[in-house]
Amino acid sequence: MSGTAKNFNAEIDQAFQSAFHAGKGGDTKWSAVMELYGAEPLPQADKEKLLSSEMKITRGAFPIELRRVFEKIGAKYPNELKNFAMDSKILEYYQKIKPFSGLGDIFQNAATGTAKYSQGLRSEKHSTMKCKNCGAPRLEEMQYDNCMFCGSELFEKAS
Amino acid sequence: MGILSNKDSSPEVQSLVTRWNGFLKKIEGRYYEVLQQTEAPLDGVINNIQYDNVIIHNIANGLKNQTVTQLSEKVEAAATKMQGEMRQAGASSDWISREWDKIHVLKNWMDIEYLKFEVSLFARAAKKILENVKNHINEKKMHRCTQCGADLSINVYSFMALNLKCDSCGSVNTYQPDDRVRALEYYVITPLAEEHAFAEKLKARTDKNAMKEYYKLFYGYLMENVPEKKDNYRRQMEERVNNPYFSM
Repeated sequence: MSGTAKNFNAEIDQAFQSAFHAGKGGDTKWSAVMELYGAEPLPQADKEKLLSSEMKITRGAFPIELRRVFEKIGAKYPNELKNFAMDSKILEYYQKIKPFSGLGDIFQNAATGTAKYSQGLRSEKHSTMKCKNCGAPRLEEMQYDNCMFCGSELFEKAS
Repeated sequence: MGILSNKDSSPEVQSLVTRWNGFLKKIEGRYYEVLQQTEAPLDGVINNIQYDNVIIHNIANGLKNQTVTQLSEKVEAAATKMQGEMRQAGASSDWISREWDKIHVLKNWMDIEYLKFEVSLFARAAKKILENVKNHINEKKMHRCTQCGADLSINVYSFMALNLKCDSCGSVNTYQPDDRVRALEYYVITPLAEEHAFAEKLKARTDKNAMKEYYKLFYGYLMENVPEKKDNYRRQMEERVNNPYFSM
């Protein structure tokens, strides 16, 4: 790797880390980084709009501001910029600052089935097997053949 | 020559090692973070559980994916990157391989921690289900012979249908236990047996003989708490305990 490429990667990493470690929506340290590169920050009104939008973030500067810094770094290293996957780097950044939603989904999905398998359960049942012909009760636990009183079959045979 | 080659002790390689260690530490932190986030919602789920633990299976699958599976994938991807960077920095193969081994240690740690979490989660759910079943079942209910009305001594915590011969008239009464009671075997007793024997299961990860002890404790618990199926469980236990694989 050439010296220029190394410097380019180092600056990109540094900007990435500064954005990531900034407070939610950016802070004074991040503003200083933007100023250093001459990148234009978002107007306060836009920041507030974004903070209340559906694209939630939990920490760090806004991805668009990081992109602006990357563009300024790229302007210093035009050759390296050609091979730099800007969009995927910005997406990687967003993945890191967005709220962790996986658990919410797990519990939401699970909640739909909370009582599903506890429904329709049968209560205890107590009965006596009786002869269909004469009504005499079964008198032996292992009596699966004929009624002891009238001799009829106690259980129907499978056809 | 010392254990470090010249390049291995270079500031560049050392700084990569520091970064790598820091990354692994973060993954460990992330693992705990995910499980910590589940504490409150899991309390809610367990409080609302009724007579089955199917929901716990669903949640546990999702959580395992969020922790062990996804974090392991992240570590593996990062390890490949670390390997490339270390090679570029001139680190020796031994050195890289030593750093690579750290992912096995971390993955093993995650597996064990997750197992502990899962066993204790199912045991918590089991205790709640048992409480619900006990509240539902009327243990004092009198059971009388359908033919002569004499008292029958029926254990309501039976896990299979019973045929009882009335002492008074000799008729055979058939008792079908409540479905909630039958289900205790799978939703309550099995997870509690697993918790009871779990320490041996952990030991068995490195000592095959400990697996025998695990089976003895696990099936011992089942035999004690599901006496109707004692013979069946004893047979299963003996099959496993006498399996030559665990005596090697």
